[in-house]
Amino acid sequence: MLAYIVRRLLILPFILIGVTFLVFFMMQFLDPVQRLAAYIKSPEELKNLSSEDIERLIKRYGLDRPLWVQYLEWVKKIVHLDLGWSEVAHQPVKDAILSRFPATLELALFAVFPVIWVGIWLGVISAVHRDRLLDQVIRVFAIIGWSLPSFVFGIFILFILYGVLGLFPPGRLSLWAQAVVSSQEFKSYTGLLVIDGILNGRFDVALDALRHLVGPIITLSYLWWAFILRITRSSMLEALNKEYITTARAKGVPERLVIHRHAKRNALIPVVTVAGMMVLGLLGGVVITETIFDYPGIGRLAATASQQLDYPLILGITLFYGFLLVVGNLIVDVLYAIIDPRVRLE
Amino acid sequence: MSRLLEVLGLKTYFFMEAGIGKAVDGISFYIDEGEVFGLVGESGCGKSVTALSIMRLIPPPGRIVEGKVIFEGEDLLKKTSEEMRDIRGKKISMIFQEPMVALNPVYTIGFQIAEAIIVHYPDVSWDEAWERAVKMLERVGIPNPRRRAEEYPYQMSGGMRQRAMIAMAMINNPRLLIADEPTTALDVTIQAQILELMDELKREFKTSILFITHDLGVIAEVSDRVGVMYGGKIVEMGDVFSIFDEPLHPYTYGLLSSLPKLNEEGKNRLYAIPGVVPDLLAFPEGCRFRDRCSCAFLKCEDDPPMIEVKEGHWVSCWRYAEDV
Repeated sequence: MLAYIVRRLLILPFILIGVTFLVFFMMQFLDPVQRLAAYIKSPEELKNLSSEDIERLIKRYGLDRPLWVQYLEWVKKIVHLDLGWSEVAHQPVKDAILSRFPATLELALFAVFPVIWVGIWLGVISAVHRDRLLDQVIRVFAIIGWSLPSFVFGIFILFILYGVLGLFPPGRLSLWAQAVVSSQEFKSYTGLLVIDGILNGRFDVALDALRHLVGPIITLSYLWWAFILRITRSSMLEALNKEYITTARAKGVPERLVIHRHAKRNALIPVVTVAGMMVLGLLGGVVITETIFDYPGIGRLAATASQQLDYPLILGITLFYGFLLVVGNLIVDVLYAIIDPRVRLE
Repeated sequence: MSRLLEVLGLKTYFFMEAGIGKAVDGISFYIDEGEVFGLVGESGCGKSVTALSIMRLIPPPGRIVEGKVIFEGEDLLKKTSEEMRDIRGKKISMIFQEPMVALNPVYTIGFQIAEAIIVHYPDVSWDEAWERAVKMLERVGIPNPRRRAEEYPYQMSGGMRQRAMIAMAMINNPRLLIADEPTTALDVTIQAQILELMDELKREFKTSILFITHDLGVIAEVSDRVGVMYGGKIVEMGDVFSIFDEPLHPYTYGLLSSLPKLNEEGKNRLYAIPGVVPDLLAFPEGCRFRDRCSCAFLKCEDDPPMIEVKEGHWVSCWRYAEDV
C-alpha cells in the first residue's frame, strides 16, 4: 500500500511538468502584448504604460525570445508563486485565488459528504429493490435531478428559500457578520467561515455562514446526488449478478451482509471515480450556482476573468485547477487501491 | 446406509416473457450418507438449476413450482428463509466451476473462509475463525497456509483457488457437498488432484457429494451412482457400473459412444449425437430426446415413464415398457 502511494508520488512531478507545458502551450495563442499582461505587478505599472514601454517590457521579459527560454523564465516565475496582477480582482493573482478558494472549498466540503452518503445509500436501495415501487420512485426523482439544469433549479431554490421563506439568503455572509469577520479580533485560521466562526467562539457567525450555504448546497447536491445514485445503482446491479454473490449466499451469509459487504464493496469502485470527478468539479468552482447565489467562489472569479480578458488571472486559475486535478486524481487512485486489492498489487 | 437427501418430483420453471422455461421438470433421485451421486448431462440440461433448487437459491424469474427436497427427513422447501440460510454453508455447502469468479475479489481468502464460520457460529471470535481457516487451508493442501490466507483470490492459481473454495465449503463439516462442475475449468493434472482431494475429504468428514459435471470420465471415477439428465429430466439412473456397462437410454448410449477410446485405432471418426440440444422453450412434447433419437417411434410422443429395468437401474424410455 505504502509502496503504491510512494510510486504514485514519484510520478507526480512529471505530471505537473506536463500541466505547465499545456498551459504554456495555450499561452502561445496570445500575442506578446497580451502575454505581457501576466508580468505586470501593480495597477500603477499598468496605468503609465506607453507603447514604447510595452516594447521595452517585451524585450525585458524576453517575450520575443525562443520558446524554451520563455518557458524556463515562466516556470521560474510560477515556482515563486508570482502569477502577475489581476485587474479584475485588484490584487495579485495569487492573492485573488487564495482569497476565493476557501469559499469554494467550504461549499464543496459541505456538499460532498451528504451527496456521497445519500447517493450511495439510495443507489443501493434502488438496486436491491430493482423494478419495484421504491426503485421506480427513486429513479424518477433521480431523473428529474439529473435533467433539471442548475440555473432553473437554483433559481427555484433561491425563490423558495429566500423569496418565500426568507430563511436562507444568498451571498456568503450577512453584513453584520461580514463586519465581525473583517474586524481585528476575528482570526482567520482556515478561511472556512463556519469553522473559523466556531474556532473564534462566534457561533452566530458560523451559523450565519451555514445559512448562506444551504441554497447552493441543495442546488449542487440534487444534480450530483442523482449522478452518484445512478452509477451506484447500475454497478450494484452488476455486482449482485456476480457468482461470488451466489457463493456468499451458498455459505449462509445473511442477505444484509451479502448486499453491504460482498456486493457494495465491489460496486463502489466505479462510484469512487465519479465521486472524485464530482469533488474536483466542485473545487474548480461551480459558476452557475455561485452566480445565482451571489457566492464569492473561484468559479465566479474565473467567469469574470474570462469575460474581462484578464489573462494573468485566467492563466493563474488554469494552472491552479490543473494542479488541483493532478492531486485529486492521486487521491482517487489511492482510494481505489484501498477498495480494490487488485489495483494495489499490480 | 441411511438416506440423506431425497428429491421428489422437483420442478423448477423460469417464467420469462417468451414463455415458461422448464429447466427442471419433475426429477427424482436420492443420495445416501457417504455416497457420491453424479449428475451428468450436456450444458443447459438443468444440472445446475437442480443444485441451486436444493439450496433454494434460484434467481428470478426462476421458481420452484412443485416437488419435495427431503434433507435429513425434513422438506427444505417448507423451511423459512432464515432456517434455510442456516442450513446453507453449515449442512449443505456448494462449490462452483470457476473459483476465480466464485470468490469475492476484494476480500482475502482467509476472511472469506473465516466468514463462513462466523455467520453460523457468531460466538466464535474472528481470531479463532481465522486460525481454523488456516488449518483448513493446510488440510486441503495449500502450502504456506498462513501467508496464503492473507492473499486475494487473483494472487492464486486456478487449482489453489479451487482448493481454497473446497476449504470454504468444508469448514463447517457439512453433511452434503454440492459440487457444480468443480474441475471443468482446470487442467487435467490439477483436475486429478482436486478429485483425489475431494475423495479424501469425503472419507474423512463422511460427507455425501452431489457431483455435477458434463464429463463422463470424471463421473466414472468419482460416483457411486449416476443420474443422466437431458432436457430437465433424469432419463437414466443407476449405479455407476450399470450405467457404463449396460447403458439403456439411447441418450446415455450416445454419450458413451461419443467418448474417444484408447484401444481403437484412430481411423474411425468420433461418434456424435445428431442434432443439438434445443432451446429451453423448444423441447418436443413427450420424450424430450425423440427428435435426436434413432430409435424413436410413435409412442415417444407421450411422456415416457420411469421404468426399473434391473434393481436400482431406472430408465425413462418407451423401449423398455412391457406393454407397448
